[in-house]
Amino acid sequence: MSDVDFRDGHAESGDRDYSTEHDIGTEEAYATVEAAVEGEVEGLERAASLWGDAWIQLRRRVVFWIAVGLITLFTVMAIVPQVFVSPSPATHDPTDCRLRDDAGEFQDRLRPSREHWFGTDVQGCDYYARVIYGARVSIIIGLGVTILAGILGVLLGGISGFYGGAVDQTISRFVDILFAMPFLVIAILFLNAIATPGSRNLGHVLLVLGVFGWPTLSRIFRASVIQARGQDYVEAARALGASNGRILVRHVVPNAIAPTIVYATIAIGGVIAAEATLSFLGVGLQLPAISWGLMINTAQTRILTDPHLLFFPGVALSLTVLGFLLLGDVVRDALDPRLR
Amino acid sequence: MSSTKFRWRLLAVLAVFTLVAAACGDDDDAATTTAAPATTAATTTAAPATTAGATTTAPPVTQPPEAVGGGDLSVYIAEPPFIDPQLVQDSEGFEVARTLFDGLTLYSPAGGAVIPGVASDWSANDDKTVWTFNLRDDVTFTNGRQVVAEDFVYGWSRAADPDLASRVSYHGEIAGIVGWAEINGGDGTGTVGDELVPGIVAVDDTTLEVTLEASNALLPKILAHPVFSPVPKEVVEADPDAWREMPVGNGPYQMTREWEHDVGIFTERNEDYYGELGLPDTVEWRILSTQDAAFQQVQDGTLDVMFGVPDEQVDGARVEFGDRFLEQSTGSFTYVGLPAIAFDNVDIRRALVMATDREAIAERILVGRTAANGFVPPVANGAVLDACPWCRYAPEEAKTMFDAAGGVPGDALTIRFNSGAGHEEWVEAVANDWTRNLGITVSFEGLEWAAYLDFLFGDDPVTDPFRLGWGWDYPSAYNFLGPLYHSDSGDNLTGFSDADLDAALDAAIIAETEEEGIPFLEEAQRIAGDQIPVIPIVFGLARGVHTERVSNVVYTDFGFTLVENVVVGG
Repeated sequence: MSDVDFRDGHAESGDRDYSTEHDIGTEEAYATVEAAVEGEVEGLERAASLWGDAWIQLRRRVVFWIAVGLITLFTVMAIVPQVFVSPSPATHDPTDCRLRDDAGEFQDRLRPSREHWFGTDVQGCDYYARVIYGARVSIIIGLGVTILAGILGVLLGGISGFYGGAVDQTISRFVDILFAMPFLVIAILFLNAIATPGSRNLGHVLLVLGVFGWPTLSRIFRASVIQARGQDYVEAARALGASNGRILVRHVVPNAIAPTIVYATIAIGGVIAAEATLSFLGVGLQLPAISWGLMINTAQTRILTDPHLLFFPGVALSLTVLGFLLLGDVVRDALDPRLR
Repeated sequence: MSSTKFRWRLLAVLAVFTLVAAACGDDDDAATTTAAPATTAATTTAAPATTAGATTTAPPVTQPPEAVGGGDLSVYIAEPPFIDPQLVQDSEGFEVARTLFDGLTLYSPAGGAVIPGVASDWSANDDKTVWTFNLRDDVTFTNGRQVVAEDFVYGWSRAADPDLASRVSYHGEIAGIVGWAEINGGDGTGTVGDELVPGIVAVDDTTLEVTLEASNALLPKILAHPVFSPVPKEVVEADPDAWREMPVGNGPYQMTREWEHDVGIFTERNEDYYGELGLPDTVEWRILSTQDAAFQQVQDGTLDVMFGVPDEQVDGARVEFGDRFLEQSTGSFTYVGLPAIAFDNVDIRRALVMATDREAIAERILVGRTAANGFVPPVANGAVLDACPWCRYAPEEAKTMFDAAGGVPGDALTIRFNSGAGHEEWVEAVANDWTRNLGITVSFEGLEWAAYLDFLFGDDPVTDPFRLGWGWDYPSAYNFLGPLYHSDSGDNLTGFSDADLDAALDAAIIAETEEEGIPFLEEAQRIAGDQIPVIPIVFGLARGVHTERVSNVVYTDFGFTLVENVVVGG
């Protein structure tokens, strides 16, 4: 929980006597103490840290590696879809859609075959290529929205929690207002308002999801910050003369960030699902964008006649969301001191 | 978290996914060939009994002899822009207005002809320029007042009045009624209905005389269109806004309350109707935004009748509904318009049609349809089925011609269409064809019906390809050619203008009889086939379903549901 480790109620610092080396109250004194605590001073054992221990924990868990595997798979798929598509015998261009093949035979809604690994869709597009390229939208939105919401949340939550007072009140009320709005309804409203149906793009969806995603993160972070700022080590740092900024950055944030990170990781999965939902409803991305949500939309009326249209993007979406959920879970377990 | 919890987590995620996936949204699009502006009014005298390829199933066109009336009927429509008869410009408003108002003549349910309405009989002078209509004396508006010749004079003058800004007033010009064009082309006075059209005279309460500028054998057919309905002046002028929401008519049904926008139009049988009383006690025109929603409601049994079964549901619907699945060839036509202002080079237009694999689209996406290779549907008398020699799939030739003609600005196009009516997928296929075969970037955009009509008919000229449908107003090939391609027509959205085509159409309309006009109409179709003002996609095929609760559901080849003959229950 802190870098001067209070986990078992013990402070572990070195045995050295610092009192004569520097004047108490100066920045230098403070820096020395800090360095000692962090094990940078020679002769001291490196103090165990929350993050170090968490990592040791994580790398032992199978689920962690499964989650990392899934996330890596889909992230790489998003970055270089060409690599995944290249072994396929069918066209490598997901937008090369034709109702007839070269022989003049109809090739829409084909079942999975050697030629088309995932079959073809209503327009005759190779479904495998489309599912692979669909990862891009999901990963970009998942990571992009979370980063955006994360930055906003940490910034506003941090200021709110650390400074308190009128600033906190103002920001908190604003957060309350955003919380009061039902997400889907407002998201639909905003997406229709800021972009006419024909011109809606990834940026719009990213913006709307990010703007509605940061309140929760800020609340979590604010709570952690409030708890952290009351800790003794903050008092100690202040006594040693550290500025507010330094305290925030070097002490409060690292110690308060854990729950926020856990939530954000889990939220990535939720964001990806949210984009798929919006596209499925027709208010997110639109054709000709390639998105798993859009594919599921087209597939929904053909569940009985062409189930493969639903199965492949559905599984891909589920696995991606699952990867992030699992990661969030194991990270939370690793960081939660109460489980020890 | 323990591993058991993880397993449950996994199951939960998969379960949620399955739920989400299985939820049937109502976002799907079905092909509606009838969600089109059925705006031209034309009168048909000749029944198209022997038209080539017409697969009109002969419907029982009257009420079954032992039919018992009663019950409540609900029928699906999309939200129409208007139901005021002088403003009705689309298929949806047409369905409703037809039951609320009767004009001089009525469309024959058997198709292809008109039958007497308020006019019991009519005659014309030798050169068919002066027509005399004798009206019945037992017709009343639902406010109790008798319908007289003056009501027609007022109604038609209202339609011609530029102050009303009706998009369907041009039917009067097609009919050639004296003075109509002058009034309509004038500045207006600020008041609606104050300038009386000189070509219409109420000789007395039951005699109406119509004078035309030139002979027109089709007049009685043209006059069946709702724009020529009689309307009660005192009601209209008392509160024009209330009139639009709840017009008062003389038809077999009357409104029970104001039009609830995006919800429904509620009507009940007019017990004082002069003709055969409608069978259902009430008819609810349920307004839904997508055909999918309507189809699901019929499946659930909460909606009785819907036409426009979504394409991807057709195969399943045939099995599920059995003989409650109805198919009817209709006089309608779906096309992609190519605005002349942007596509002024005929080679570009020809290249675009050759780059489109219309057969595959019709067969696969529209599920078992055939591509239209002409401009007039087979059910119409005078249709030339293969009028369009350029209507073949030849992607290499298209590419060569397209490049030679200089392509399109920015190498990009946007195709527009009305959303929620089943056009999303085939428009996407057209976009894919053009992208692949011509090397340009093609996107597409759907707009809701009323907004789409505003876009097409608004002040800014359309410069992008647009999907539209056309349902005939009177069973004549002229109705598919004049309004769409004649340079004077208000429905000519492409702005297409060809002097030879205009001349052929003008000659057709003044022909002594409909038969004598046919060669000119054939000529007009061949010119269109050469000049490609629009890309023909398919001709009308209405597919509908109904619940077990109702029977005798008939959809005419004209494109409307004979709600008055539907048997509810029993």
